[in-house]
Amino acid sequence: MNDLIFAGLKQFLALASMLAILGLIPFLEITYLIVFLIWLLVYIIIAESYNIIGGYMGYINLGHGIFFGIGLYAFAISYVKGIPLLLSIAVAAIAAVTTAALISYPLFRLKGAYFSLAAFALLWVMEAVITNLEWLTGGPRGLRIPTGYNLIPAYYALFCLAILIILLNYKILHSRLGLALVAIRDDEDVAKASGIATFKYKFQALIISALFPGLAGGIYAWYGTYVYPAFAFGIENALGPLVGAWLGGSGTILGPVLGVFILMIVEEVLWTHMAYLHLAVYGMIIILVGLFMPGGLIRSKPLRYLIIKLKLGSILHETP
Amino acid sequence: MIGEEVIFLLQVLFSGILLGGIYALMALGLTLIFGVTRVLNLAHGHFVAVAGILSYYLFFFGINPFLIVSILVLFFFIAGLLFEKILIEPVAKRSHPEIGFILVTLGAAFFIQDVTSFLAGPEDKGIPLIIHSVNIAGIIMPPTHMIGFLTIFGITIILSLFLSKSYTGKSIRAITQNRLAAALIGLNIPRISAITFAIGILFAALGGFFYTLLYSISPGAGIPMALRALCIIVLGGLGSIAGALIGSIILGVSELIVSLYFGPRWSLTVAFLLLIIILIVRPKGLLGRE
Repeated sequence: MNDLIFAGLKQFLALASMLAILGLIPFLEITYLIVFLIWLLVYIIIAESYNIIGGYMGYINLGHGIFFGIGLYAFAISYVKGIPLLLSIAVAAIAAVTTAALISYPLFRLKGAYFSLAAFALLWVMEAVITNLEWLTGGPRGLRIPTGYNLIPAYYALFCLAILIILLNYKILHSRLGLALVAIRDDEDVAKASGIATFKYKFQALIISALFPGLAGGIYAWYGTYVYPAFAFGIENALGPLVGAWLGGSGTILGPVLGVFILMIVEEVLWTHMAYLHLAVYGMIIILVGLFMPGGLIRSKPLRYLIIKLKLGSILHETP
Repeated sequence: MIGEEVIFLLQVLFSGILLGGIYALMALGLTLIFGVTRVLNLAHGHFVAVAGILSYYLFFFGINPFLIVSILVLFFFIAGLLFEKILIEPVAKRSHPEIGFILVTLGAAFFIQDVTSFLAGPEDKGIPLIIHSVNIAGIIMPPTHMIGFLTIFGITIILSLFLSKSYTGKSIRAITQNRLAAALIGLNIPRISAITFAIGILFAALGGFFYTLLYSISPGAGIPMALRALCIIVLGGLGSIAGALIGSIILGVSELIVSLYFGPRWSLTVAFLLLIIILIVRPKGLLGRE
């Protein structure tokens, strides 16, 4: 067992009420909370979309953050050039997906840690390229986007996007694509030998996983009104969601959400006490997860024990 | 005498080869480690950076370079042993260690980078070793470059002899070629893994020392270094030591030429472009076997 699912009326009602609360939060008008939640939603979207490639397929795409950064910049550049809002968001999504399509050919020639390192390199290369193309992107000082104050609409847009990607994770897992991805993860050579068109599925998975961060980037840029290279492609934002996914348990439907949630709380606490060494804390968390809990929190025995003790056993669910 | 353009070209070539040599030290370390332990050490570049920064501080405490190298050799050999024992060995015992390896080395990389940045500051640091330049047939050759070149050449020869003549060296090659068979004939894989890690990290450290001597280093240079090492290994061919050497020279010369004509900020992109090109054209690498 390694996942949670909300089957059954009691659980569904609990889930619905949680979502309703999240949906009504903006009416409390606590800006700090809404900003925090926006960040949380962005991280959830990035982590859950990473889950498709890193979790189900087993290809640890350390460069997953580039899709968010590309979404940010694509939206920024096109909106600044006068392209209307919705079209600009579409541009962001298209840019992210196109990038995924283009890099999949060379990138998927690598496997394992080679793939991960090359994917990670993409972050640095994108940051360098964006920084150096000053005429287009404003260079290291970034771009200001004149969109006005859009906190609440952005919150709801991201909220819907987050729910979509979580549902999509569920759908994929129980689909042919999901079966192929898990087969690739378990043993790619055997999968290929069994007739699974591995490249096709890898390609599809990367495209899908790029779409959501791209959209999220567009929406966030619309709200944030300012993008710069270190924000779009820097390590903290690019890897934070991934650390959350690993912490919570990649390869499950809700693991990344759990991990991101805990990680963001830890980060909030850290910010108020330590100005430095955040990356070091990330590093330590990753090491500890790697050494002791590679399956993440959601697969851990204590959590399972707790759920059973609380008589919520019916939400446990088998995932491959 | 020789024409001016030719001299310039030779100078660029020589500097490129020297840079390639420095990268070669780092890439060789990574290849050795991967061959024996099947770990692609994502923290490898960070050891380069830390060694460079350490060299910088030792230099400014007045310690002469030869002693610095000795200190580095000792320190990083032990660091490599500890790294392997604490982080790698517990993970290697699992049935699917690959994910664990990535997590553990990545976490170590971030941790090392941030702590170093916190302690030493994120700015670039270089060692200014100034000796009067020598003029050979019109080519200006700073003695530091010459010494660096000769030393790296010597180290590579020593490594090659070590791998072909010594028992440990031959064990390393054996384990790289066929892990199961090596275990069956009684080679102590955990022990050799630890020693290989130590040697690999040591080489990274030496690379860091020479890099800081000739250029400058900062804590954030860890990931770009690791990327260069990856580019070299893929370019040369996974699992090939000669390939790593050739790949290093290619990268070194290319990077230098691009830096000269387009500016140093594009140097990392060169490595990545080479990586992409070789992946599309010949994914096995120039001399690849796997």
